[in-house]
Amino acid sequence: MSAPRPVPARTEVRRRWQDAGFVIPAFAALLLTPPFLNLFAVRRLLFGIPLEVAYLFTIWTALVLCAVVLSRRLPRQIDPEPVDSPPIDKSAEPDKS
Amino acid sequence: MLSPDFVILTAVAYVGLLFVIAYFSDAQTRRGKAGFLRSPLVYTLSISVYCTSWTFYGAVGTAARDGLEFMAVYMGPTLVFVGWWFLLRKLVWVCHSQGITSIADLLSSRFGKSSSLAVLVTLIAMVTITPYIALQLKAIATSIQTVSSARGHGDRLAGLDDVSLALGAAVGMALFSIFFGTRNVDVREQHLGVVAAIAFEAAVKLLALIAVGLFVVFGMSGGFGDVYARAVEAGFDIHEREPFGSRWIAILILSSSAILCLPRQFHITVIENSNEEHLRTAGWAFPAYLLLMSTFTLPIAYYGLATMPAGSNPDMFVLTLPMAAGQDGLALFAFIGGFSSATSMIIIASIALSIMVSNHIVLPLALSRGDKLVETGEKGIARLLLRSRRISIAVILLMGFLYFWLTGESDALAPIGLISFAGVAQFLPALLAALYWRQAHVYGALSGILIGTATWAWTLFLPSFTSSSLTIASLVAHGPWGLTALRPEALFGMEGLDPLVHSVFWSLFFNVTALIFVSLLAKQNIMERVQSGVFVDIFRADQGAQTRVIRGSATTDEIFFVAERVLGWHRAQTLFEAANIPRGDHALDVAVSSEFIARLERELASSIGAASAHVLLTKVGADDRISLEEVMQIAGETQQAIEYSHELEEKSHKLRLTAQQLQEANARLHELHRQKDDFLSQVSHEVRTPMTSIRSISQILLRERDLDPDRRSRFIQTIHQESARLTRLLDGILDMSALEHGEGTWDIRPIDGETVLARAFIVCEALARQHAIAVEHHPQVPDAQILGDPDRLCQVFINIIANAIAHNDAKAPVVQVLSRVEGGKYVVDIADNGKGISAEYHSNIFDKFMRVQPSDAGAAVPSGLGLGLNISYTIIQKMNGRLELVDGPLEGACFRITLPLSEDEPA
Repeated sequence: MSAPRPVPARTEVRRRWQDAGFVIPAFAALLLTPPFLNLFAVRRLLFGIPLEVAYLFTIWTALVLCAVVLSRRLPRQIDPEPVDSPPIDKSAEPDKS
Repeated sequence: MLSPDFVILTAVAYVGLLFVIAYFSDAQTRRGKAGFLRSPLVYTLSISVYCTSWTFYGAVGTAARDGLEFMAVYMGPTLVFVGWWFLLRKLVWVCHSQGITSIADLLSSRFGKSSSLAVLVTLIAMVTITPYIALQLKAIATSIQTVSSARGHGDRLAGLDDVSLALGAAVGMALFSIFFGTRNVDVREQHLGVVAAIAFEAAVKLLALIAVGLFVVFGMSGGFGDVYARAVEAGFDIHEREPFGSRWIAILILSSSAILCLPRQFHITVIENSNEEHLRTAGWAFPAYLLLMSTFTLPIAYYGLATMPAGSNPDMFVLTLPMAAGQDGLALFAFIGGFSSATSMIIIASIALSIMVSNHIVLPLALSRGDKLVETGEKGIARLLLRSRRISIAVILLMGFLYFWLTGESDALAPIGLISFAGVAQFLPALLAALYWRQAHVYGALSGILIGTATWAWTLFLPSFTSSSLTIASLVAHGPWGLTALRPEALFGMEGLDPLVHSVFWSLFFNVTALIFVSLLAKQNIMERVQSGVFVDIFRADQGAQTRVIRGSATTDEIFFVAERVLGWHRAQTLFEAANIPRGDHALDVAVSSEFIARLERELASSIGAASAHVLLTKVGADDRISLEEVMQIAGETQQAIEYSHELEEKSHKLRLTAQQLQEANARLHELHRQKDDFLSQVSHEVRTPMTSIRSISQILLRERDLDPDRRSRFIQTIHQESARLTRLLDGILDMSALEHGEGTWDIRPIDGETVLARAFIVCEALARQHAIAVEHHPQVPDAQILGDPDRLCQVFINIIANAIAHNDAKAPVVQVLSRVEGGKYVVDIADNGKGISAEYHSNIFDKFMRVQPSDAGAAVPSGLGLGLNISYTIIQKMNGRLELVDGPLEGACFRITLPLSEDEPA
């Protein structure tokens, strides 16, 4: 019938950041658990520091930086999600001719 | 070296400083100048009560023994806080809107204000946290002994042993907690003085650990790489000995749940939160704090391993390394850091537990002891609560001390941190269900927590006493009554797993299973349904709160009486005045709105817990079944409104559909109207041509009387021809109209199609001869029985064959007729080798008055009426057949007539 109503750009951006607020910790959890984590437990040194240690601290630091960005971008006041009302379709109105 | 006198007096002085900080913070708050104390920074620092002495000292020990495992303890909370938008935000919102006072209160409130759930959670929290408090006492005692062990003679305090030191610490902390944690039964249980002291302690422990770390890494070695190089030289393995596995994941899960479910974490993160927006800062600042706390853990551990004599306790490296280097000042600072982390945990844990005990165990007991309310006087319940809280704090710390005293000599305390985490992790499934699963039932939560905790106690808590009891050791080795399937560390034969992983798996497995299946089987009562909606949909806009007058049996005076007992006269009065509720004799008939009762209940709940507040109001009859049913009615009306709007939506959808159909029908009508107009104008045009010639010729005949007979007879001939054509035309139109309206006589019967075709053939033969066209009739079908009107069918055949003959202008014109029986159908193709019909006419060749215009301008205009094909088409359709234009065997046009065969014999 009618195309979906265009979502206002602000709401769209807001939703993206809300999704990021979930995806970032979830993805970090993936990076911080085996089997991924074991890719770095290979008994090697990076600048004299065991690779797995360097890796864990790098991810941790990155996670903190992501959290800084997230806390700036996530919506401020918590207002309820707009309720979707049925769109009014002008083209479907009966022809007056 | 530091003298024991000096160390102990420093510790006492430090506690004194905490008293001063807390006192002035409270004073500032009372003067309304709590701005800084309510800042996100103080909030974030206070959350770091998570880092106890177990992490301050123990992380280095863990790192020295097990490598990177200690990091998982910090990673879990980091993930939870980075994802604050999803879980913590909802948790804090729910707790603020419902006036929740503890994790027990949260679960009880969500699951229908169930008292039994609150009691269960409180008891489990007591069991799991008491050893944890003992661990802190032990850490304080050990650290004092360590930092002052070298010399002791001459000091008066040097004679104190572990036990007296721990007792001293317990008493000091009990005093602090009682002074600042139970000053009043406050709205939302916030204790800004305590929080200020905890935040100060958080800063101290962070700075102390960083100071020791910097000293070790840059003062005594040449940076991080150098520390690791030395450890390798000393023969230590600096890499993970085994790949990260299930233990890493188990600790990650436990620490994630601990940051939510530990009573002290819940208290400091959720209850002491004064502004939901502070989570925004804590979301990154707390992970950053943890990151800084653990940056130097590994270097300190490896430096200690490499340089300290073999057999030194790695748990005390943070103290012993500066001491070994002769840095007494730094060692003292480190000691104060460790002391801070232990005391902050003890203070918050005991306050959080005392709130739970007083609200969920003492108060319900007092309420059930009959109508003592009258005797209690103003704020009587509040006073009762404060008294019970003070006693609970003392009892909790006494229990912690006793636990330490009884098990202190064994190593049973060492793993208690993770054991405690695993214990409180049993609240996690119910907590998540409370926030996200409407259907979760109080029986599900009860049974899940019960069975999960029982499994935890059997598989993890009990085995921790193996070293101190032979009975338990044999139980762990052989199972109860020799049942090997029930061995605590190999339940149902699950062997070879780390005991922690084993316990976490089984306890959470049973917990979640019970929660889900019991919830699915049980039916929620009204209260639970209301509460689950409030919790799960906290971010939905309208909660359906409407003002309603209840017909509860309580008078306003009775309700005021209850409010006064808890909140005090002043606040109760303010509340009632704000809602314009009159009191006294003239207000006997005044009904109280259920909205006010709900608000009052929330106010009461923020002091005494949801379950108790509910019980209290039910007791005076303010909040009885009637009002509950009305709540349900409100909920029902909201539901109806939702359904109605759904219906509206559906209706408007249907309307739109109907409008569209109408529009389509309208368009079809327009088209038909246009066709009718076209038809009329075509008919008039067709009629007009012969009429014109008849009129003009008859005019000539009338005017010119002396025409020669030859011309006259030619004119008359023309008039005759034209009038004949007119008649044919009118016949055709009538015929077509009759066909279209289903009139006219139809003689439908079984016939042989081939016979009819042969008849048509004969008729056309003369015409063919006239045009010198060869008409061939190829494969003859022996018999083709069809149902039809033979005359009409013959008419169709003649029409099409005649068309093929008349319009064929090839040099050697040929018309082929091919008849066959195919797939139960009688098929006749009539093809010619003329020019064919150009593509533009293919779609409407069967329309009325459709005549193919010759492509070359000079050719004569065809003489046909343009009705023949249309009539043929309609006739064939009436006989359930099909007439179509196909690609034929010759280059010209090919019409195909398809008719279904019939079973009946031709008559």
